[in-house]
Amino acid sequence: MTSQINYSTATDEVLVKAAQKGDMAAFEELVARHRDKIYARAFSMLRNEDDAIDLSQEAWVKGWQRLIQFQGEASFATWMTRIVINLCLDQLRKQKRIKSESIDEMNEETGGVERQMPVITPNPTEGLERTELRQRIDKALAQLSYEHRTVLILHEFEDLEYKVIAKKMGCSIGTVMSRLFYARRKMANLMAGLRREELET
Amino acid sequence: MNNDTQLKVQAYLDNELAPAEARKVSNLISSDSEARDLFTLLKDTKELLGQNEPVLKLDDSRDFYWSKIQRGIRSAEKLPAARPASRWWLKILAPMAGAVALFALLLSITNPVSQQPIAQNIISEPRPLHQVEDLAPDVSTITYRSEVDGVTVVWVNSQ
Repeated sequence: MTSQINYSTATDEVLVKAAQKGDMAAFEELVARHRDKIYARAFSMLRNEDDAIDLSQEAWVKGWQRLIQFQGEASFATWMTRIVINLCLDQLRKQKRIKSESIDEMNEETGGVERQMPVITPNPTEGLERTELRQRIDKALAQLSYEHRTVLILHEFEDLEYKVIAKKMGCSIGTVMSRLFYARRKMANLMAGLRREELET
Repeated sequence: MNNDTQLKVQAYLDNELAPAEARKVSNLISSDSEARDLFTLLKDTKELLGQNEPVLKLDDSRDFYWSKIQRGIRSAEKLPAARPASRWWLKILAPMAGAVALFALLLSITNPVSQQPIAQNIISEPRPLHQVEDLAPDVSTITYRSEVDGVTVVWVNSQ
């Protein structure tokens, strides 16, 4: 039965069903299709290439093991992304990057520099190609603490609600709101700052 | 604008407010320039990020990347499934306790005490359902006896 599948043209749904029956070639095709996205999500959260590769591969192993649980409520790519996000959160908790955290937590409590700054609407995207813009966003994301970056990624890229993010990160909804606010303001400032640097050079 | 209001403006942008609260914040944004500027800044940042998520591509070849996943899957499948800690004593004690409990139940049914005249039961102060024995606490086997009702209940929990 599995030999009738044309793996390269089959839909994700067909490949998932075949893989659920033990067809590893179908799963390999799914990996090939979505590996960049899964790796990119791991990298965006961990900011380390080797860790991101290892964790993305671990996510695929877990995906295979739990494949029978996938019922198709979301797309397969979304389901796999949730797996890699959970692994990243576990990894980040283990690493406990206290050094950078302590400063950010203090900022959160005191209101942070960004909160006290007057609201200006920068135009950091003016005249930029999309690739450049993405690179700049990536650069700015790298400057956030992992907790602020994670909230931003889960909300802006994964479209998760406050309560879901709070549950995943093990904090209150208020903390999520505060972190998201701080992260957005900081991103806006970082983007404007990067733009200024580029213009000066 | 205080911190609470700032977060409400953000929650309004993210559709996280209840309708009544959302109307209040909407009015504030319409009437207050500071709230409006903040809303615009947050909205622009949200849109900027949402539309421009950084794209990354793996440098590893398909085969190389897959080979490690395949090894991971195979080694995971070779591992024996995790089993709960062995409780050999439970395997012996649980059937024994059950047999004893069953015996106690049968004994209580044919127990001549329960068939004695009411007068004798009155003398021995019949009590409501009470625990008469706990044969094996480790396997949670407990026997209850109600002389009033002439009933014996045996609770066996092998967990």
